[in-house]
Amino acid sequence: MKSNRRKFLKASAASAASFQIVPRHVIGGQGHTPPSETYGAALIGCGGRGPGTYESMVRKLPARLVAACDVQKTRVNGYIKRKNPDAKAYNDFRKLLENPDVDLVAIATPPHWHALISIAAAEAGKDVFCEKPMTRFIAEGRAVVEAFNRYKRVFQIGTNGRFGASKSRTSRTIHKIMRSGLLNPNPCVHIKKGGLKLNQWSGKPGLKPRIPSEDLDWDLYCGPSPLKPFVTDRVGGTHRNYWDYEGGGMCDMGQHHFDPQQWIYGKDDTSPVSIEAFAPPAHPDVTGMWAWVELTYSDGFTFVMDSAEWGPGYDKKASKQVSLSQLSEKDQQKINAMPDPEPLLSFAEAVKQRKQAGGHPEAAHRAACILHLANIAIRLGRKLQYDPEKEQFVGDDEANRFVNVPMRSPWHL
Amino acid sequence: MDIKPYLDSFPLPAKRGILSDVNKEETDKTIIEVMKAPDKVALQLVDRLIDPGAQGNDIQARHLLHAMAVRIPDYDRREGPGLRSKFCLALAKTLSDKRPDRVKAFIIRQLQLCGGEEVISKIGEFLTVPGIADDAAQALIAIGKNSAGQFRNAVPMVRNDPSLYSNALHGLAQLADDSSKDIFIEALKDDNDESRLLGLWGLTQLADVSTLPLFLESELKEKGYSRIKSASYCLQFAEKINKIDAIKIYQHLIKTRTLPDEKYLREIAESALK
Repeated sequence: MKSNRRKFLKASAASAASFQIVPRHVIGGQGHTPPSETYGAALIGCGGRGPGTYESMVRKLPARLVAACDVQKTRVNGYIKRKNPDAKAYNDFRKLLENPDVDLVAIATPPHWHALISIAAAEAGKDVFCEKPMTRFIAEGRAVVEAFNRYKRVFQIGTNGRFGASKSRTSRTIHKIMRSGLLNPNPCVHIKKGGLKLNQWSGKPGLKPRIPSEDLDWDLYCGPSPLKPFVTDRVGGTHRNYWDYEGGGMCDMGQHHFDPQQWIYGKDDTSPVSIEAFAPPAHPDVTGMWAWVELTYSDGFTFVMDSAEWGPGYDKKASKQVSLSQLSEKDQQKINAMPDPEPLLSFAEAVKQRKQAGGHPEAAHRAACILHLANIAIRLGRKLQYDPEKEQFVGDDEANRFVNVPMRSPWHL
Repeated sequence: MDIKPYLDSFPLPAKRGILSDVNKEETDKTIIEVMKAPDKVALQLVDRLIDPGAQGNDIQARHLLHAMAVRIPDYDRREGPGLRSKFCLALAKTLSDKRPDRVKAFIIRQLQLCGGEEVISKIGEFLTVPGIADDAAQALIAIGKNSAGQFRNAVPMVRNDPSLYSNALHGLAQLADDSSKDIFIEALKDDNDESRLLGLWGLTQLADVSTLPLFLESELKEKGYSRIKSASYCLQFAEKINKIDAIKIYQHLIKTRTLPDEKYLREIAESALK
């Protein structure tokens, strides 16, 4: 297991490595259009962000909607009617993935489905554009990385900040300093203050269960998560308020902010080793209040989340930017002599070139880990030590139960 | 012991129904106090739990019980062993009482977070109870490999209930239970797609090469999504075993995935043979 993980890390660290396997679309075959025409595209999860996620996926690609899926019949039917009445409607993603006309899949379900559907899509030979956050818990991310390495499919997380960041000269310089390892120990601190929608995506405990409408397949909606009595807030944007499906504003907004920061600070292939939160006891079902979380990497570099919506502000360390001036003149010369990092490929470029996209699985997984680690520290109320290679907490078996959360049968990673 | 002051230190829904009026200092003090007699507090808290939707309010009781469940392992490590198991045994004992299923499910979910060997057999009893069996299964999986015996014991009792049977197979496969080889093989003959796939997954988890001929013969019978999934199990099986046997799997895929839409699978297998 350990050696496999190392192998995978190594493989995915080469983010622009090309695939040898071309998509069925290019190969052609029965029911397939030639490469000069269009990609068959599909959307799974047609509510909320769904249509926007689909448009992000097909941007700059010759694609047409051939299928869509949602556990709510009226929603998928409505989307297809608006977008392409000839496309096929499904309520079960497994049936959609059997469709040989589908080459590309946009996933915009609630996050408790992101990993399983991404993996299943890769297994069916499709490329994936997946809405953020990538996962609901840490082990899911590792499984997605392994599946996309195994199947050589393209994966892009649905947040674009890292593309802009990678074009900034300052960010590229910081990236090079961090990747060089010359600033070690690293005294720098990046603080994200506010913007994590703490109050907006805090849940309401004790809501009365209702009978779900016949339009909704509640069992399939819950999927790998516990099958609990239906409560209106568990469906729609407020799904974010439940640990069963997402993880509050932390997971909703966190990947937007920390995904580009993770690239800038050269942490796409690792995770923090120490995590501490200031928060009151978390509720078992719904997300709630927290003040701050401090996450420190093995070189000393620190990310801080300061909710600015509850409790005392973070005051343990001051913000400190990484810069060339922190290095000796000789080391500065080494940085200046380093080549710039490879440009990040968009999903469209990655699909056409059969190379890995800028928001590839390992990077997206590590960015999601920042959020999951923060939420686990909030939920457990204790300082945690984490091994980024084993992807396990150190000396805390019960904390590890939050790393790989058992799924409901028949779902598994 | 009067637990009302402890409960009152935990928040009730405030504006917009969320728990924003929470005082960390007070809740932290409460947790220190309740950890002095976690078993006694647990019993009182459980008595306050109500069926979701029933008249009343158990928001604070659920919140405090959960806070104890997630924090007690650390107290146990810091302040001497015994606290955690005392708490868990007290919770497990309440599962024998007459309570609504969803209350029992909530208690089991707390044991999922902190339970150990001491609660395995009590939770295992629920693997045969529709409506709670999946909560019990996930708790046992979280507790770990030693709970596999509970799933094995449940299999003959749930054999005729597709949902409970699938739940038990899933647990054994997830735990990669070495003693369940025959159970997985038996599942390959089931009429239910889900059970057959779980049987294939179980054998993949074990990666016992003696099962390979049967595994390959069985996986070939799957259609549609199950065929996609069984090809994935083939690849995962191959990654876990010696090169000579892995080659048999890759050759099997090249020979059997002959549809135009399966070319990507042939290519993966061919690439693995290089």
